[in-house]
Amino acid sequence: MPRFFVALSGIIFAVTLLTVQVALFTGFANSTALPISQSPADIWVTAPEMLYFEGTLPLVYGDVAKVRAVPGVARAEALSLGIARWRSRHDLLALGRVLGFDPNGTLFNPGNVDRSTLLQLRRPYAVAIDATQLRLLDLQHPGQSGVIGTLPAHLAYVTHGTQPIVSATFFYTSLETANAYTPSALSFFSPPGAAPPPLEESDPIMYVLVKAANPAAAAQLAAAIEQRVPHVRALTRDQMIRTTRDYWIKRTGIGFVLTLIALMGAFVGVAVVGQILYTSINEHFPEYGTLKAIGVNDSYLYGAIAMQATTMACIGYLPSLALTFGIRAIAADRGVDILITPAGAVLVFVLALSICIGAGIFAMQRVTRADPALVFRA
Amino acid sequence: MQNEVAVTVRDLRMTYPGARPVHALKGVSLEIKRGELHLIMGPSGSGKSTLLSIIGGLLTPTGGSVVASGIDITHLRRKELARFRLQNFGYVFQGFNLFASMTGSENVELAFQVRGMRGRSARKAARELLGQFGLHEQANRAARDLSGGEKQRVAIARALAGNPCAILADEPTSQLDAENGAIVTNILSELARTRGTTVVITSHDYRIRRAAERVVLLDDGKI
Repeated sequence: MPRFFVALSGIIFAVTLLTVQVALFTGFANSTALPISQSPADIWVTAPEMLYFEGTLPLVYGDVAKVRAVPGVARAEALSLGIARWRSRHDLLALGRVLGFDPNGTLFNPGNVDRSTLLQLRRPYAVAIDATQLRLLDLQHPGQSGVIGTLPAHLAYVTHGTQPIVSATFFYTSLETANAYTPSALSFFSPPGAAPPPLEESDPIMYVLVKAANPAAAAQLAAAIEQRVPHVRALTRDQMIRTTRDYWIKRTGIGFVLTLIALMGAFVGVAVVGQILYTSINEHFPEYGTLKAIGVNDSYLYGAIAMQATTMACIGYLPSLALTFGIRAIAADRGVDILITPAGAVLVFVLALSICIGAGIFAMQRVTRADPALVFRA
Repeated sequence: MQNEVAVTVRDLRMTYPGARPVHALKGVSLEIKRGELHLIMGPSGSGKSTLLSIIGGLLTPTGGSVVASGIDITHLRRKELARFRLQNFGYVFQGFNLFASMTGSENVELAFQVRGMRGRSARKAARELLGQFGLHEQANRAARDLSGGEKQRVAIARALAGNPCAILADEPTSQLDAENGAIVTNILSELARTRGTTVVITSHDYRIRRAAERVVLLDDGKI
C-alpha cells in the first residue's frame, strides 16, 4: 500500500506539472488579448503596420467619423493608447499605458463594470486600474491619487481580470484625459485643475472600435472599411485576438519559453510515469513472463498495461486538477492567470492518458521481447 | 487411450550460442503417450529444463522436431506457437509464478480470461477447479499469503484452466515439504490417470519417480 501511494504521488506530481504548465500557457495566451476579448466590438480598425494590440501606429480622431460613415457600421468609438509615467504620493515611480475611451460608449468597458461606475471616468483625470496593480502603484483603494506626467490621476475604481500579464499597468480613462496625459499633447500645458479639452480631428488615437449592424457579416464590413477609409487596416475581433496572441506566442521569447516549459512538463511527466510503470512491470516480470509462457499474446499484455496506465492517469488526474485550482487561486492574487478551460482540462487528461499509456507500452517492451523459456530457467 | 502418442520428439538438438557454445541436447528422441505421467530425470545441467522448454513450445531447437497433437511445433511461427501453447499446454513452475497480490481465485480466473472466458463464468469455473484441489477456503486469500503447497495447488489449477492435453511441470515439488510434495505428486498422478491428461515432469523427487509410468534419464544432453 505505501508503494501504491508513492506511485500515486509521483503521478499526481507529473500530471499537476503538466496541468499547471498547460493552464499557464493558456492563461498567458488569453491574457495577451484581454482588452480585445473583453470588448464587444466586432471590428478593430488600426494602422496597416499593426503587429499586436500595443504595437501599432496612430490614426487620427477624424478617422472615427469616416469609419462611422461606412454603410453597415452601427457604432464606431475611439480607443487611444499612450505611455504613462506614474508617480505615487510617496514618489514611487512606475511605467504604464493609458487607455483612453469614451465612458458614454458601449464598445470598451474594462472589467464590465456597471454603468454608474464606468461613468465615473467622465470626471477629469479619473482613472481605473486592475486590482492586481494597486500595490505596484503604491495605492490601496479608490479615492487615492498620484501623478501621471505632470497631471493628477485620481483612482475612481478598480477592475478585476483586465491586466494582461505581458503589459505595463493599464490606466483606463476617458479619451480627453488620456489625450492630456500624452506628452505630445498641448494639454500638457493646461493649468493644473483645468478640465482636459475635447479631442480634435487631428488628435492621435490608436483604434476605431466598430459594432457591425450585422455581426455575422463582420468580415465583409472590415473589407468595406479598408476600401472606404484610406490607410487603415480593419480586423475582425477573432483576427485581432489571433494576431496579438500569435505575436506573443510565436514572435517573442516569452511564448517560446512557455511552450518549452509545457513540453518539459510533458517530458518530465513521461519520465516520472514511465519510471513508475517500468518499476512496477519489473517487479511483476516473472508474472508477466508466466502469462507470455502460457501463450497470452502481446496485445493482451499491452491491453493489461494500458488498463493499468489508464487507471493511474484517472486516479492521478482529479487530485492534480484540484491542486491546479489551488495554485490558480494563489497565482491570481499576483496577477498571473492560470487558466483552466474545459478544452484545456480535456487536453491535459488526454495528454496524461497518452503519457501513461505511452510510458506503459515503452515499459512493456521488455516483457514482450522476453524469451518465454526464461520462466523455466528462473 | 494410453497407447495414443501425445508428443513425439525426434533427434532433438539444442546449442546455446556464445563464445563457448553449449550443446544442451545432443539428439534426443522419445515418445510420450497420452494420459501418461512422464518423468525426465538427470543431474543439474543435463538439459532437462531445455528439453521441457522445447517440448512445451517455449524454445526453438537448433535441430530435430517435436510433434504435439499432430503438429510439428518446431516450425510454427511465434504467434502460432503462442496460440498453440495457450490451447494445448498447461505449465507448472518450480517457483509457482502466481500473481502475488491477486487471490488464488483471481489467479485461476485470469487463466480462464486469457482464453476468452469472461466475468462470472470465469469466476465460477475458477472456484470449481480450486474446489477440486481442496482450496475452497483459500480461494479468497492473496497468493502471497498461501503456503507453498497451497500455491502449487493453485498453480496446478491454473494450468488446468484451458483443459490442456498436456501439463508440463518443472521441478514442481522442489520447494515443498514432504507432506505437500506428496499431495502435489498425487494430484499430478491423478490428473494423468483419471482425466487422461499427459503430464511431463522434470524432477529429482523419488516420490514422483514411484508415481511415474515412464522415466527418462538425461545425462549430458543425451538419453
